[in-house]
Amino acid sequence: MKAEGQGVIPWRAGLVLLILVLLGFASWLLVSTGPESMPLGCVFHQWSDLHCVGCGMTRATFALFEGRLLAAISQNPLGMVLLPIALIGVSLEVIGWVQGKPAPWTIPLGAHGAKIIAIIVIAFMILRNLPWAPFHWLGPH
Amino acid sequence: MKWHFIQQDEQQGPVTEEQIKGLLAAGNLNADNLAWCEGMAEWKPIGEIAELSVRSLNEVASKGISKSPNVSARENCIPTYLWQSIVVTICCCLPFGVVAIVYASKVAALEQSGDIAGAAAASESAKKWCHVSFLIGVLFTVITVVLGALT
Repeated sequence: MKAEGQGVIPWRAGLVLLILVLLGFASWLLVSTGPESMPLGCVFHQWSDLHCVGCGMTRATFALFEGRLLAAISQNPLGMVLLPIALIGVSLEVIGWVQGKPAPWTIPLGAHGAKIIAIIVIAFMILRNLPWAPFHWLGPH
Repeated sequence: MKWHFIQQDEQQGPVTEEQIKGLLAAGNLNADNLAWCEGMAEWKPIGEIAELSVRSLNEVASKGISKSPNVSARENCIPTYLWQSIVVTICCCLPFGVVAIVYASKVAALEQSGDIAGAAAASESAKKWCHVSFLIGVLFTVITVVLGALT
């Protein structure tokens, strides 16, 4: 019963590497072609005409790559704040997962932090679909 | 759930919960040995881990070994999938991710209130909806890329 968690678990490291390569490729595609020339728009948006929580993130990411921070925030204000935090949270867990060990650090949320985030996300999803100011500013434009 | 533990300064595992309890019963491990499973923030003494502590502490007490002082502290051992839920919600452009966030937000509170089974069920649901959202998101991305390549 020798310790297995001392090093890196190969298939997990391979999977993470594959995802990083795909993300890099997607970023390159976005930068080189721009968000407007993406072949299909969001299927969910076309079908329902609603803006989901992530709507505008492709345009926001593109704006960010060009250094236009305010334009990025105006496309999806919650996403621009929450996605980086969530990516840090996931990355920390992935670092542990690849080694079969605990995450080196977790974002302290407290007893109700997760519930507050859930409420903010649901409120944001509803409010950004309201057609009048100031709420429609929360939607992509 | 697979557990790792530290015995004589060496990391061991992964082993099942039953194996850990077997080692506790046999006296090879006690409440002060550190253990960890996926979802926990850090290594914790076995005596402080809710999933392992109930029986292990009884066994430890019966063997007359000193109890860990922090018995009531429940460590976050059940994965919440909160960050994964947020990433799939924002990146996959689908409402299913919100369902995952709602389940994920319940895990920690349920676990803290002592409802381990409820927390585990919420964790499983969060994981399931993360997978649903992720797979549909990937499917649509692949269709988009293929259509883009064809046109």
